[in-house]
Amino acid sequence: MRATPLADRHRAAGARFTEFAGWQLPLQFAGIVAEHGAVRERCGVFDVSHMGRLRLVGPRAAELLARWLSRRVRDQAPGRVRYALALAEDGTILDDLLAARLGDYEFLLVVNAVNREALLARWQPQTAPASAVLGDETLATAMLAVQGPRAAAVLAAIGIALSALPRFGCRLLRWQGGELLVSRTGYTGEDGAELICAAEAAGALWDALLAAGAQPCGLGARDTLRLEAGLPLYGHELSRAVYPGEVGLDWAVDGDDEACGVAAARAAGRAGLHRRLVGLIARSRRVPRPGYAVLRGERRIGAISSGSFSPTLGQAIAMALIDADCATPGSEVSIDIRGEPEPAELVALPFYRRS
Amino acid sequence: MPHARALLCLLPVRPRQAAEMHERYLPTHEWARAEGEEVVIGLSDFAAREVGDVVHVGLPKVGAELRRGVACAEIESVKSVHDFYSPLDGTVTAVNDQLAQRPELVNQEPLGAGWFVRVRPACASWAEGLLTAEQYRAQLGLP
Repeated sequence: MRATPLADRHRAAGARFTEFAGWQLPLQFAGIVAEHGAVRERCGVFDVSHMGRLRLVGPRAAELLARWLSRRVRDQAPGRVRYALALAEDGTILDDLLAARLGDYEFLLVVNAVNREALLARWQPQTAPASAVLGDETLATAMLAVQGPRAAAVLAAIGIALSALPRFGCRLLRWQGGELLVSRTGYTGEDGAELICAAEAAGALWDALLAAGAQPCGLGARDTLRLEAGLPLYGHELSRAVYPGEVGLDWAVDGDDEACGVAAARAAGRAGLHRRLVGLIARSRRVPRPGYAVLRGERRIGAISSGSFSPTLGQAIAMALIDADCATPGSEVSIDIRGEPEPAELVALPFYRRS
Repeated sequence: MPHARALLCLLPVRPRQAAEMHERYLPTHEWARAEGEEVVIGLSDFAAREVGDVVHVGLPKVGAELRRGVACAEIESVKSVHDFYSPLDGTVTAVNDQLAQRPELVNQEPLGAGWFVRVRPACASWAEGLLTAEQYRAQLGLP
């Protein structure tokens, strides 16, 4: 199992660990609810070094990427980050990722840990020194997410200014003598930034963030935060069995028809998709877990993709893929929680939007 | 009974320690403690830490018949759900209504205010076959 460059620090801090996509990662430090609250109200920092970091460099980098991703690339300016999907030939979802354009001929792709090797195996054969080279920088670097209403202040305190960086902007800067990529992105529904540095620099960066007031947060809080924000997770809302249009990601398919899977995803959308991703708020505090059936009367209309207790709402919430004809917000459904139907209300996503 | 509480604090042993000496455990982390003719049951300190933030406890109703080793409650934490097994045979005489509003009591005071239900034991020898606190801790490899 792989460990991040910060594993010793996490252990010393009393973290509880979990295995995720072949990585040993902190599940929680102080506790999921406390860490969740820290991010919503102040500032939390996550070690997300397991995320795949792939660098594409070369004269034809943009052209190659435009064939691999669901989004347009040619009008993406250097210093901008785009959320994109990698689609399979049939238009279903291979992965979701962030593509940062670092220069005219250079991109950094942040992909899901579980898909890193499959994407490399798919894309690397399409590269060549004369066009572009795809390198895997995951193990040589570390990645931290600093999130929350006070994230900009915490970062400013350690010499990283976000003020000039718009949302979905990125910038390379120097921090304590090393290179640091800062991007104003995240996975919590809060303001903040994601930082990528050399693996050897991660410890000093982590320590500085904690000293400036960021609270260490684990994968548990990352999951409850992204669920409240209605953000999909690969393997739950997104998979090879799901089209972008079913999970509200049509907007992320604006690429060329020649791009892998784009024409197929559009054709599937035109033919009519039979499922929709919806939000559910349970009436009881029993938590809907992934895989539980969603029912309308006796009819099984779909299944829970992600579910948790929402610390912000104080209620059990979930996302579910259900039959499109049942997906009207406000409808009453029930969730089969270990054999007992529990009433729930269908709601529009997200559950939480920062004010 | 505020008076009883105040008196206990004057004793040389902390009340929690005194209470711990009388709990009996199932290997699956449930405790049982005699209180008069009845037995109070709940989740061990160790398990309460392990499950993380408890957000809901599904308790049996008053009058429910419990069997040792059979699931009688469920504990929902943020990350997962766990069965709670009854440490004895008996009938539920009271449930901890406070847990409906404050499930976090299970984390905060697992042996005290975070109790689950009160049981009238089916027989006087209900504690036979349960682990002592020392045996329970030894099973977990704790000092």
